[in-house]
Amino acid sequence: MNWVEITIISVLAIWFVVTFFYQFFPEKMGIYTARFDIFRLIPGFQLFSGDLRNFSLLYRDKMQNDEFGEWREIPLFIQRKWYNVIWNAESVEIEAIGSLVDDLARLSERKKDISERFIYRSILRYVLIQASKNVSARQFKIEENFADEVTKKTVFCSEVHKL
Amino acid sequence: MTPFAEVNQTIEWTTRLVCFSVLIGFLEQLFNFREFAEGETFDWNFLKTHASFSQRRRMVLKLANLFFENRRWLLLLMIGSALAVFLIFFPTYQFLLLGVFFIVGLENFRLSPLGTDTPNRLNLVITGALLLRQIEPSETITYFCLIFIALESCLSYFTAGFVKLLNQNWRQGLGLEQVFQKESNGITTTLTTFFKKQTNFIKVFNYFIIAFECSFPFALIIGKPYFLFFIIGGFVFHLSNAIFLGLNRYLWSWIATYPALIFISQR
Repeated sequence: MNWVEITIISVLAIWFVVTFFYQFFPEKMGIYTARFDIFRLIPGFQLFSGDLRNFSLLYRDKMQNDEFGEWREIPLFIQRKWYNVIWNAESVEIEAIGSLVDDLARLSERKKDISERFIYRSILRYVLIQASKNVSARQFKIEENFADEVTKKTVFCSEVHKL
Repeated sequence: MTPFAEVNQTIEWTTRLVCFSVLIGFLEQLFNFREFAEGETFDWNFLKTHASFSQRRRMVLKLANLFFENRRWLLLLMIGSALAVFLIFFPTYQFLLLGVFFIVGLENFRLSPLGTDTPNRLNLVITGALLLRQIEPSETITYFCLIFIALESCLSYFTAGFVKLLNQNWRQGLGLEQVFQKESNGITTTLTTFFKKQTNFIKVFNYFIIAFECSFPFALIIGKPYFLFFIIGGFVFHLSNAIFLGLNRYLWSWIATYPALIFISQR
């Protein structure tokens, strides 16, 4: 074995060992990987391991006569088609928003003032671009849906934002 | 004869499959090009306000601005797609993986404010290993590169199984049902409606998935032909996830590790 081979094998070994420890100490190591691993070379494989909760995103409009309309849901899913096994482009944006809604709902349970956070602003932007007529302001909320498919609980309600 | 008994064939198919996975990811983004316009979800001027960019050194930000500006980024995705297509047909031009690796890495960086993209992270691991092999494509390095990919694959299954074992819902047999409830929300195909009603069936599968994922590393030592149980089982598992949960890119990223797994398992 020459020194090039030894170097490459060492890199592969270190890469694997760091990935291995990252699986079991993601929070501790995450402080360093978030800072230094900008390409995300260290993958996390903790799939579907968290507390799975089902959230919905809703908004309501304040009309120009100052009355609020009904809460309307923005679907965070798409009706699946047979070809989605290979191609699922329609869900790219919705998946990103769904993930942000999940994060915001959980964050709102831990912290109070979150209106300056990136996730809040992202969802607000998404809510504000929904089609509207004669609307002066808009508000959104996140509801948690429970397994019985009937019970719902408001987890977070935003301020009213002028359009 | 079992496929992937020969090393060059294994490297070529790993390259093809990982490039296919990358290509799907790039094309799905290009298909959503409107969302990269100003004021939309993937607009760079908005994404860069996230702390993962705004708190970086000025030089990193300058480089990010250079690559991530909306139109330039779409152009990079087109270049990445062209490279991936080329490598699917001509996988021996391994040096082109450098371009794929670089663009996938940038994609992970650009989209980091919106959450992690696990398939892309695995794609980066695979392309990274293939690129390291390209520096010194000797028999020893090729072997270590394939071991690395196979080990990463086994680690991914084991971790996914182990963390489920630590989760109370999964231990009580409710984990899969919850995944189904959440991920198939609003999906009303005949099959999903059928499975939603089969709670006992889902419970059995809940435990089977944990056992399957935790025992997956045995694929490397169990020998021929038994390792095929894990390969076929893994394929069916990812295919089901793609069908029922819409996780299409996971299927292709994980399958890209299978040629290396099959190659190592036969030794």
